[in-house]
Amino acid sequence: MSLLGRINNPEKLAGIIAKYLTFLNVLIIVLIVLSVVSCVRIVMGSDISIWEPEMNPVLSLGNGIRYLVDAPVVDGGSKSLSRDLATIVGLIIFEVVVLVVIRSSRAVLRSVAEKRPFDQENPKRIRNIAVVVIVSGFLSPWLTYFLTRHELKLYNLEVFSIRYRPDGNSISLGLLLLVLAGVFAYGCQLQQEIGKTI
Amino acid sequence: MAMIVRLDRVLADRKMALNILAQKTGISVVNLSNLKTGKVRAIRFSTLEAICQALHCQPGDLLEYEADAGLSPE
Repeated sequence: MSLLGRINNPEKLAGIIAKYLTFLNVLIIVLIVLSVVSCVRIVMGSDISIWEPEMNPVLSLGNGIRYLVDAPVVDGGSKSLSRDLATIVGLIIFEVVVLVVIRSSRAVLRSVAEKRPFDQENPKRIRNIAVVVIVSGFLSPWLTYFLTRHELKLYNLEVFSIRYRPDGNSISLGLLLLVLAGVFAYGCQLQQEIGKTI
Repeated sequence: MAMIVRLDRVLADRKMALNILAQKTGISVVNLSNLKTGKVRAIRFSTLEAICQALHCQPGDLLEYEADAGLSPE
């Protein structure tokens, strides 16, 4: 079927996107696991290249050789460690948020593919996505701002300045989704009326 | 609810069972039962027509209006 044909058939298109989101869902779960592993590794001590002169070989899990160096020897010391930790924790939060959005979107798309777009749960799911998108529109630039400012301070580059500016696109998209959730809620109400009409 | 469906009364007058009415009208027994017990929110003209035809009655025989307590005519 051509792309145009798929667009004209929303159920099929929703089914295809839902399958794609299932793949993304698995990918995000893998990324979360990897991020948690990175977090643990950062807490244990940051890795450096094998050619570093300060390298300190130790045996690690699985009998593999890892070269670990105390964070203060490499750069920035505990400041660098807290920065790396903050970055990874931020990344994990971001991945969890993306996972929530993907799962909600997949549930909505599946209901559309099964020809029941006005499922009673859909307005709530769309509203949840909208709230997450709006909050991330404020939070994500703030996190970037916070980390960049931290970096500038760490490397004495305070001559550069950075401004916090919320992501207008995300906020607009979230507001649009809130309106869409309202439309779906009205559709559900009509669907219920039809269900109770004989 | 202000609108009351008197299907049970008309069926009793005609001595007709609900499943016979379902066969004659093509409406499912479940839907007719919901109609009889007042669980529906609306009824289509086509449904009303089929029931009236099967029971040889008028829509007025099936529906009755009863004002809600506390509601004035205004």
